[in-house]
Amino acid sequence: MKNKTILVVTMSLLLFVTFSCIASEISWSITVNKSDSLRQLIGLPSIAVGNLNPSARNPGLEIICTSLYDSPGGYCYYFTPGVPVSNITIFANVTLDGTK
Amino acid sequence: MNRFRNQVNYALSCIKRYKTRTLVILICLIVSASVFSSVAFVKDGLSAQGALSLKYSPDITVQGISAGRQAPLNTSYIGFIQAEAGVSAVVPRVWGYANIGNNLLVILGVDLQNSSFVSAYSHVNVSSIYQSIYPIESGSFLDAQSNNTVVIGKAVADLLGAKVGSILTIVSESNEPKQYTIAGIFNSESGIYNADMILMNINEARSFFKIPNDKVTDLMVYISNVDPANQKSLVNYVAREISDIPNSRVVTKDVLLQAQQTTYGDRAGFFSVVWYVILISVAIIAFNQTVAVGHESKFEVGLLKSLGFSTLDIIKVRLIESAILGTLAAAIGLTIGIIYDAFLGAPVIKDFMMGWATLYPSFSVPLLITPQTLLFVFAITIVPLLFATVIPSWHNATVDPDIAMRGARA
Repeated sequence: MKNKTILVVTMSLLLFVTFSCIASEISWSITVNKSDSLRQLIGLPSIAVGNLNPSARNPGLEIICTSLYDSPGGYCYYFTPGVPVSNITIFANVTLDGTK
Repeated sequence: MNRFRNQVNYALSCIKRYKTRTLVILICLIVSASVFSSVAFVKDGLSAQGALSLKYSPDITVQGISAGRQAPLNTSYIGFIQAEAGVSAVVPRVWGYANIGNNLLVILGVDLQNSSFVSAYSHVNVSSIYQSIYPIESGSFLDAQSNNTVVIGKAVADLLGAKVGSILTIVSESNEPKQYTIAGIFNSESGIYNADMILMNINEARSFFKIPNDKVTDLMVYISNVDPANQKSLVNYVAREISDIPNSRVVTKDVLLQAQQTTYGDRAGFFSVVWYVILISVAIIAFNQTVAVGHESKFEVGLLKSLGFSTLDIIKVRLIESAILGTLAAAIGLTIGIIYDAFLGAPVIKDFMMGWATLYPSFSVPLLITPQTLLFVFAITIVPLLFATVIPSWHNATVDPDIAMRGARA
């Protein structure tokens, strides 16, 4: 095997990988910019991918997911910090000495 | 330039000469690069598909809760939400789950006559909403006037062996068998979204789930399009106002996006940990092999130095060798990752990333090959190899040529 062969093989593979990346990016940008009427109509935030619990598609769902696992679009993470609309300050005053 | 070209040529000769080391390093790096890249492509594809669904999801979803669990929401709140400043549309939705055999499916009732939906998407041609623009493989989409008809996902059709015109019998929670005529089947290209779905008119869904006319599963709230800089504040403002509704849970699109990213990130994270372990092993093996080769090449180094090569030149040759090996391994690993995902359908990884679905969707795995992933794989295969090489080669190159040649002969 000549020295050049190693470089040619490497360059060919790099070209293949780069081409795949460009094709993938173009394909996704078309998908993203294309109007999707079905998703507009239905409005479900997640995809048809199964999870550890049967509430996979549920944007609202049984609390059981907190004990098993979360699902895409599920609400388990609703209870994690940083949710902008949770207002649970009422609980802060329900202590014996009233301190927060 | 000539000097560099000669050094590259010499490095390439070394790659061929020390076959065992080359093969060991290549195999280890290829395995780690291909494992990581194949997982990363699927993870990015799923995240992108999730994000795409979110793009079309309502800005705010409102659902009822009772004793901490989701419960139907009263439709009387629609007026209250609609009156909030910045709300452009409130669309009721009825949906839930049902079993056919051991398979859990999503049953979704859509309100095809809902004018608020149409106003929320005024840029879409209304007639085109009803027909022809939906991803239907065979049959037709739902008709607002016809009863007892459904459109089903491809995976559901494959599972049941159903065709357009077949009668679908589903037993409801109240143990009543309900029969529907299949009007259409979604195509497999859109399967990532609707593989497990049975779509019907909202009133059919109400009847199936026995949800009274004054209740809905949830409400989709759309916010008026304002300046993008203020959109988020407006959504949060409206969400706070809506959260005054008793027994309700309010979720914004942002929260769902975070949840999705965390979910796929966590799953890919498991593989990443495995991959890091592989990478550390590769670095150790590369270090070990370079030390071994350094011992073998003592005479050669002595000869080179006596011919005028400096210590820096020898280190440079070793680094060029490692860079070529790393690049070649990353390129092969990425190519394997792409072929494994795109042409073989990502076996094993697919099952892990898709989860333990009761109905395995039969759609192809969504892939996204981003420049970031490629650069990361290159960086992570080349840089550790360079680090693993530099010390042994420096140690090897600093030996006196006379001692090196005598030591090697001895």
